[in-house]
Amino acid sequence: MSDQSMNSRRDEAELVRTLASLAPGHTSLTFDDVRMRSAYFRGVEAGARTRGATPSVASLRVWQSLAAVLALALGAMVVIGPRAGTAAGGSGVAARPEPVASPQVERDRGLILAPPERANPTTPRSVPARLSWAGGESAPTADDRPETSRPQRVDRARDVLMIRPAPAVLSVFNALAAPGESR
Amino acid sequence: MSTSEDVIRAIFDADAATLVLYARTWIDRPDAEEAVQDAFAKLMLQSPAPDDPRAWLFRVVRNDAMTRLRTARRRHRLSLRWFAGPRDRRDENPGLIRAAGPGSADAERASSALAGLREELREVVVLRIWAGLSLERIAGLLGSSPPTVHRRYREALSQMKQSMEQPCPTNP
Repeated sequence: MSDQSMNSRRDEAELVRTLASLAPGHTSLTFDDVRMRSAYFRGVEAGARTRGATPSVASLRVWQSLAAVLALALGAMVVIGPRAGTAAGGSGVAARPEPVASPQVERDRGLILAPPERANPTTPRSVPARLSWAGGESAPTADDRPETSRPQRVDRARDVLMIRPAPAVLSVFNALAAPGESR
Repeated sequence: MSTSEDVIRAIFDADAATLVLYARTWIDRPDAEEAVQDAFAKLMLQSPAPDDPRAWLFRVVRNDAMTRLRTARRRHRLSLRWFAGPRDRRDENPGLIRAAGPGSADAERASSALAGLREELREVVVLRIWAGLSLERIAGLLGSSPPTVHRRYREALSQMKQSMEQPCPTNP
Protein backbone atom coordinates (compact mmCIF):
# COMPACT_ATOMS: atom_id res chain seq x y z
CA MET A 1 0.00 0.00 0.00
CA SER A 2 1.47 3.35 -1.01
CA ASP A 3 1.98 6.26 1.36
CA GLN A 4 -0.72 8.24 -0.40
CA SER A 5 -3.20 5.46 0.03
CA MET A 6 -2.25 5.05 3.69
CA ASN A 7 -2.65 8.77 4.30
CA SER A 8 -6.00 8.68 2.63
CA ARG A 9 -7.13 5.82 4.86
CA ARG A 10 -5.87 7.64 7.93
CA ASP A 11 -7.73 10.80 6.99
CA GLU A 12 -10.85 8.80 6.33
CA ALA A 13 -10.64 7.10 9.73
CA GLU A 14 -10.17 10.47 11.39
CA LEU A 15 -13.17 11.89 9.60
CA VAL A 16 -15.28 8.90 10.65
CA ARG A 17 -14.22 9.41 14.27
CA THR A 18 -15.10 13.09 14.04
CA LEU A 19 -18.49 12.38 12.53
CA ALA A 20 -19.24 9.61 15.01
CA SER A 21 -18.55 12.01 17.87
CA LEU A 22 -21.37 14.21 16.62
CA ALA A 23 -25.03 13.49 17.25
CA PRO A 24 -28.03 13.77 14.95
CA GLY A 25 -29.92 17.06 15.22
CA HIS A 26 -32.63 17.67 17.79
CA THR A 27 -36.10 16.35 17.24
CA SER A 28 -39.30 17.41 18.95
CA LEU A 29 -40.79 13.96 18.49
CA THR A 30 -41.65 12.12 21.71
CA PHE A 31 -42.72 8.61 22.48
CA ASP A 32 -46.13 9.90 23.58
CA ASP A 33 -46.66 11.20 20.05
CA VAL A 34 -45.95 7.70 18.78
CA ARG A 35 -48.35 6.19 21.27
CA MET A 36 -51.10 8.58 20.24
CA ARG A 37 -50.55 7.86 16.57
CA SER A 38 -50.62 4.16 17.29
CA ALA A 39 -53.95 4.54 19.10
CA TYR A 40 -55.28 6.44 16.12
CA PHE A 41 -54.20 3.67 13.72
CA ARG A 42 -55.79 1.11 16.03
CA GLY A 43 -59.05 3.04 15.96
CA VAL A 44 -58.98 3.23 12.18
CA GLU A 45 -58.44 -0.52 11.98
CA ALA A 46 -61.25 -1.21 14.43
CA GLY A 47 -63.55 1.07 12.46
CA ALA A 48 -62.72 -0.76 9.25
CA ARG A 49 -63.50 -4.11 10.87
CA THR A 50 -66.84 -2.79 12.15
CA ARG A 51 -67.75 -1.40 8.77
CA GLY A 52 -66.93 -4.74 7.19
CA ALA A 53 -69.42 -6.56 9.46
CA THR A 54 -72.47 -4.34 9.01
CA PRO A 55 -73.55 -2.13 6.15
CA SER A 56 -72.46 1.42 6.70
CA VAL A 57 -74.67 4.44 6.57
CA ALA A 58 -72.95 5.47 3.37
CA SER A 59 -73.79 2.22 1.60
CA LEU A 60 -77.40 2.48 2.78
CA ARG A 61 -77.61 5.92 1.24
CA VAL A 62 -76.26 4.58 -2.03
CA TRP A 63 -79.02 1.97 -2.10
CA GLN A 64 -81.62 4.60 -1.23
CA SER A 65 -80.43 6.78 -4.08
CA LEU A 66 -80.55 3.87 -6.52
CA ALA A 67 -84.08 3.01 -5.40
CA ALA A 68 -85.18 6.60 -5.88
CA VAL A 69 -83.75 6.70 -9.40
CA LEU A 70 -85.46 3.42 -10.27
CA ALA A 71 -88.78 4.70 -8.92
CA LEU A 72 -88.47 7.85 -11.02
CA ALA A 73 -87.67 5.85 -14.12
CA LEU A 74 -90.67 3.56 -13.56
CA GLY A 75 -92.93 6.55 -12.97
CA ALA A 76 -91.78 8.14 -16.19
CA MET A 77 -92.51 4.91 -18.07
CA VAL A 78 -96.04 4.81 -16.67
CA VAL A 79 -96.80 8.44 -17.55
CA ILE A 80 -95.17 8.62 -20.96
CA GLY A 81 -95.68 5.06 -22.10
CA PRO A 82 -93.33 2.49 -23.53
CA ARG A 83 -91.03 3.37 -26.36
CA ALA A 84 -92.35 2.57 -29.80
CA GLY A 85 -91.72 -0.96 -30.94
CA THR A 86 -90.12 -2.05 -27.71
CA ALA A 87 -93.06 -2.88 -25.48
CA ALA A 88 -95.20 -5.91 -25.90
CA GLY A 89 -98.86 -5.15 -26.49
CA GLY A 90 -98.79 -1.43 -26.34
CA SER A 91 -102.24 -1.00 -24.91
CA GLY A 92 -103.51 2.55 -24.96
CA VAL A 93 -100.90 3.62 -27.44
CA ALA A 94 -101.92 5.30 -30.62
CA ALA A 95 -101.31 3.26 -33.73
CA ARG A 96 -98.74 4.58 -36.12
CA PRO A 97 -100.45 5.85 -39.27
CA GLU A 98 -99.63 4.64 -42.72
CA PRO A 99 -96.94 6.49 -44.60
CA VAL A 100 -98.24 9.53 -46.42
CA ALA A 101 -98.63 9.29 -50.15
CA SER A 102 -96.01 10.68 -52.46
CA PRO A 103 -96.36 14.40 -53.23
CA GLN A 104 -97.69 15.59 -56.52
CA VAL A 105 -95.72 17.75 -58.78
CA GLU A 106 -97.79 20.81 -59.56
CA ARG A 107 -96.38 21.83 -62.87
CA ASP A 108 -99.03 24.51 -63.47
CA ARG A 109 -97.91 26.52 -60.51
CA GLY A 110 -94.26 25.66 -60.95
CA LEU A 111 -94.20 24.10 -57.53
CA ILE A 112 -92.15 20.98 -57.12
CA LEU A 113 -92.14 19.03 -53.91
CA ALA A 114 -88.88 17.24 -53.60
CA PRO A 115 -87.76 14.85 -52.36
CA PRO A 116 -90.87 12.71 -52.17
CA GLU A 117 -91.94 12.76 -48.55
CA ARG A 118 -91.99 9.46 -46.77
CA ALA A 119 -91.18 7.51 -49.90
CA ASN A 120 -89.10 5.43 -47.59
CA PRO A 121 -90.97 4.82 -44.33
CA THR A 122 -87.71 4.38 -42.41
CA THR A 123 -86.66 8.00 -42.83
CA PRO A 124 -87.51 10.18 -39.86
CA ARG A 125 -90.76 12.03 -40.21
CA SER A 126 -89.53 15.05 -38.35
CA VAL A 127 -87.66 16.20 -41.46
CA PRO A 128 -90.10 18.44 -43.34
CA ALA A 129 -90.52 18.17 -47.07
CA ARG A 130 -88.14 20.52 -48.77
CA LEU A 131 -89.80 22.93 -51.09
CA SER A 132 -88.02 24.28 -54.09
CA TRP A 133 -89.57 27.17 -55.90
CA ALA A 134 -89.26 27.35 -59.66
CA GLY A 135 -91.86 30.02 -60.47
CA GLY A 136 -92.24 33.72 -59.86
CA GLU A 137 -94.82 33.52 -57.12
CA SER A 138 -94.11 33.68 -53.44
CA ALA A 139 -92.90 30.52 -51.80
CA PRO A 140 -95.72 28.37 -50.53
CA THR A 141 -96.00 27.50 -46.89
CA ALA A 142 -96.48 24.07 -45.42
CA ASP A 143 -100.26 24.73 -45.36
CA ASP A 144 -100.27 24.99 -49.15
CA ARG A 145 -99.35 21.37 -49.46
CA PRO A 146 -102.07 18.85 -50.15
CA GLU A 147 -103.97 17.60 -47.12
CA THR A 148 -102.63 14.09 -47.60
CA SER A 149 -99.02 15.19 -47.28
CA ARG A 150 -99.51 17.17 -44.04
CA PRO A 151 -98.11 15.20 -41.10
CA GLN A 152 -100.64 14.26 -38.50
CA ARG A 153 -100.43 15.64 -34.99
CA VAL A 154 -99.90 12.22 -33.49
CA ASP A 155 -96.87 11.83 -35.67
CA ARG A 156 -95.57 15.23 -34.65
CA ALA A 157 -95.78 14.31 -31.00
CA ARG A 158 -93.99 11.06 -31.65
CA ASP A 159 -91.31 12.71 -33.72
CA VAL A 160 -90.59 15.37 -31.14
CA LEU A 161 -90.53 13.03 -28.21
CA MET A 162 -88.97 10.14 -30.16
CA ILE A 163 -91.22 7.82 -28.21
CA ARG A 164 -94.73 6.53 -28.46
CA PRO A 165 -96.51 8.63 -25.88
CA ALA A 166 -99.46 7.64 -23.78
CA PRO A 167 -102.83 9.10 -24.85
CA ALA A 168 -102.94 11.55 -21.95
CA VAL A 169 -99.61 13.02 -22.94
CA LEU A 170 -100.68 13.11 -26.58
CA SER A 171 -103.78 15.15 -25.87
CA VAL A 172 -101.81 17.65 -23.82
CA PHE A 173 -99.16 17.94 -26.49
CA ASN A 174 -101.74 18.42 -29.24
CA ALA A 175 -103.60 21.03 -27.24
CA LEU A 176 -100.39 22.97 -26.85
CA ALA A 177 -99.36 22.56 -30.46
CA ALA A 178 -102.69 23.61 -32.01
CA PRO A 179 -105.08 25.02 -29.42
CA GLY A 180 -107.70 26.02 -32.03
CA GLU A 181 -107.92 22.59 -33.59
CA SER A 182 -108.11 20.56 -30.40
CA ARG A 183 -111.62 21.68 -29.65
CA MET B 1 -47.10 -11.50 18.42
CA SER B 2 -46.17 -7.84 18.14
CA THR B 3 -43.06 -6.12 19.48
CA SER B 4 -43.42 -5.17 23.15
CA GLU B 5 -43.77 -1.51 23.99
CA ASP B 6 -40.64 -1.57 26.16
CA VAL B 7 -38.53 -2.77 23.27
CA ILE B 8 -40.04 -0.15 20.98
CA ARG B 9 -39.43 2.54 23.56
CA ALA B 10 -35.77 1.53 23.86
CA ILE B 11 -35.38 1.65 20.09
CA PHE B 12 -37.12 5.01 20.02
CA ASP B 13 -34.80 6.50 22.64
CA ALA B 14 -31.73 5.23 20.80
CA ASP B 15 -32.68 5.76 17.17
CA ALA B 16 -35.50 8.30 16.76
CA ALA B 17 -33.13 11.18 16.09
CA THR B 18 -31.10 9.08 13.65
CA LEU B 19 -34.26 8.04 11.85
CA VAL B 20 -35.31 11.67 11.53
CA LEU B 21 -31.84 12.52 10.20
CA TYR B 22 -32.18 9.63 7.74
CA ALA B 23 -35.63 10.79 6.55
CA ARG B 24 -34.28 14.31 6.10
CA THR B 25 -32.23 12.92 3.22
CA TRP B 26 -35.41 13.34 1.13
CA ILE B 27 -37.86 15.53 3.06
CA ASP B 28 -37.84 18.45 5.47
CA ARG B 29 -37.85 18.12 9.23
CA PRO B 30 -41.60 18.30 10.02
CA ASP B 31 -42.38 15.66 7.40
CA ALA B 32 -39.43 13.58 8.54
CA GLU B 33 -40.68 13.57 12.13
CA GLU B 34 -44.12 12.57 10.93
CA ALA B 35 -42.68 9.72 8.88
CA VAL B 36 -40.75 8.45 11.89
CA GLN B 37 -43.80 8.74 14.12
CA ASP B 38 -45.85 6.73 11.63
CA ALA B 39 -43.15 4.09 11.37
CA PHE B 40 -43.02 3.54 15.14
CA ALA B 41 -46.82 3.49 15.35
CA LYS B 42 -46.92 0.85 12.63
CA LEU B 43 -44.28 -1.16 14.44
CA MET B 44 -46.54 -1.22 17.51
CA LEU B 45 -49.33 -2.73 15.42
CA GLN B 46 -47.12 -4.99 13.34
CA SER B 47 -47.96 -8.62 13.93
CA PRO B 48 -45.97 -10.80 13.76
CA ALA B 49 -43.12 -8.62 14.89
CA PRO B 50 -40.31 -8.12 12.35
CA ASP B 51 -37.11 -10.12 12.93
CA ASP B 52 -34.97 -7.00 13.01
CA PRO B 53 -37.11 -4.08 14.21
CA ARG B 54 -34.34 -1.51 13.68
CA ALA B 55 -33.73 -2.47 10.05
CA TRP B 56 -37.50 -2.68 9.55
CA LEU B 57 -37.90 0.87 10.88
CA PHE B 58 -35.22 2.27 8.60
CA ARG B 59 -36.81 0.59 5.61
CA VAL B 60 -40.31 1.86 6.47
CA VAL B 61 -39.05 5.39 7.08
CA ARG B 62 -37.17 5.34 3.77
CA ASN B 63 -40.24 4.20 1.82
CA ASP B 64 -42.48 6.71 3.59
CA ALA B 65 -40.06 9.58 2.98
CA MET B 66 -39.78 8.73 -0.70
CA THR B 67 -43.54 8.53 -1.05
CA ARG B 68 -43.91 11.93 0.61
CA LEU B 69 -41.21 13.36 -1.64
CA ARG B 70 -42.95 12.05 -4.77
CA THR B 71 -46.31 13.39 -3.61
CA ALA B 72 -44.83 16.78 -2.81
CA ARG B 73 -43.08 16.97 -6.17
CA ARG B 74 -46.27 16.02 -8.01
CA ARG B 75 -48.30 18.63 -6.13
CA HIS B 76 -45.61 21.20 -6.74
CA ARG B 77 -45.54 20.35 -10.42
CA LEU B 78 -49.31 20.62 -10.71
CA SER B 79 -49.88 23.75 -8.68
CA LEU B 80 -46.80 25.92 -8.75
CA ARG B 81 -45.09 25.10 -12.00
CA TRP B 82 -45.85 28.48 -13.52
CA PHE B 83 -45.17 30.54 -10.42
CA ALA B 84 -41.97 29.17 -8.91
CA GLY B 85 -38.92 27.20 -9.81
CA PRO B 86 -38.30 23.61 -8.71
CA ARG B 87 -38.29 23.30 -4.96
CA ASP B 88 -35.90 21.10 -3.06
CA ARG B 89 -37.71 19.50 -0.16
CA ARG B 90 -34.53 19.16 1.87
CA ASP B 91 -33.73 21.77 4.46
CA GLU B 92 -32.11 24.97 3.35
CA ASN B 93 -30.45 25.32 6.72
CA PRO B 94 -28.88 21.98 7.55
CA GLY B 95 -28.79 21.76 11.37
CA LEU B 96 -28.62 18.06 10.68
CA ILE B 97 -25.91 17.27 13.15
CA ARG B 98 -25.11 18.74 16.55
CA ALA B 99 -22.10 18.51 18.76
CA ALA B 100 -22.48 16.05 21.57
CA GLY B 101 -20.18 18.17 23.76
CA PRO B 102 -18.85 21.73 23.70
CA GLY B 103 -17.74 23.24 20.42
CA SER B 104 -19.98 23.28 17.42
CA ALA B 105 -17.62 24.16 14.58
CA ASP B 106 -17.20 20.57 13.48
CA ALA B 107 -20.93 20.01 13.70
CA GLU B 108 -21.71 22.96 11.45
CA ARG B 109 -19.14 21.91 8.90
CA ALA B 110 -20.28 18.32 8.99
CA SER B 111 -23.89 19.41 8.58
CA SER B 112 -23.06 21.48 5.55
CA ALA B 113 -20.95 18.72 4.08
CA LEU B 114 -23.65 16.13 4.66
CA ALA B 115 -26.34 18.37 3.18
CA GLY B 116 -24.21 18.81 0.06
CA LEU B 117 -24.06 15.09 -0.70
CA ARG B 118 -26.19 13.39 -3.28
CA GLU B 119 -29.07 11.35 -1.81
CA GLU B 120 -27.58 7.93 -2.53
CA LEU B 121 -24.31 8.91 -0.87
CA ARG B 122 -25.88 10.70 2.05
CA GLU B 123 -28.09 7.82 3.11
CA VAL B 124 -25.16 5.42 3.17
CA VAL B 125 -23.18 7.74 5.45
CA VAL B 126 -26.11 8.20 7.84
CA LEU B 127 -26.80 4.47 7.99
CA ARG B 128 -23.12 3.58 8.49
CA ILE B 129 -22.01 6.25 10.94
CA TRP B 130 -25.06 7.24 12.99
CA ALA B 131 -27.22 4.13 12.67
CA GLY B 132 -24.16 1.88 13.02
CA LEU B 133 -25.31 -0.63 10.41
CA SER B 134 -22.77 -2.82 8.65
CA LEU B 135 -22.23 -2.37 4.93
CA GLU B 136 -23.87 -5.77 4.31
CA ARG B 137 -27.00 -4.77 6.21
CA ILE B 138 -27.08 -1.43 4.42
CA ALA B 139 -26.85 -3.26 1.11
CA GLY B 140 -29.79 -5.45 2.13
CA LEU B 141 -31.77 -2.42 3.20
CA LEU B 142 -31.15 -0.49 0.00
CA GLY B 143 -31.40 -3.47 -2.31
CA SER B 144 -27.85 -2.92 -3.58
CA SER B 145 -24.73 -5.02 -3.54
CA PRO B 146 -22.13 -4.59 -0.75
CA PRO B 147 -19.43 -3.41 -3.21
CA THR B 148 -21.76 -0.70 -4.48
CA VAL B 149 -22.52 0.42 -0.95
CA HIS B 150 -18.82 0.39 -0.09
CA ARG B 151 -17.97 2.48 -3.14
CA ARG B 152 -20.68 5.00 -2.26
CA TYR B 153 -19.47 5.18 1.33
CA ARG B 154 -15.90 5.93 0.27
CA GLU B 155 -17.04 8.50 -2.24
CA ALA B 156 -19.26 10.19 0.35
CA LEU B 157 -16.43 10.39 2.88
CA SER B 158 -14.09 11.80 0.26
CA GLN B 159 -16.56 14.50 -0.71
CA MET B 160 -17.30 15.35 2.93
CA LYS B 161 -13.61 15.63 3.71
CA GLN B 162 -13.06 18.03 0.83
CA SER B 163 -16.05 20.05 1.86
CA MET B 164 -15.01 20.24 5.51
CA GLU B 165 -11.45 21.29 4.64
CA GLN B 166 -12.70 24.38 2.85
CA PRO B 167 -12.77 27.52 5.02
CA CYS B 168 -16.14 28.11 6.57
CA PRO B 169 -17.74 31.24 5.02
CA THR B 170 -19.39 32.25 8.30
CA ASN B 171 -16.21 31.92 10.41
CA PRO B 172 -13.27 33.20 8.32
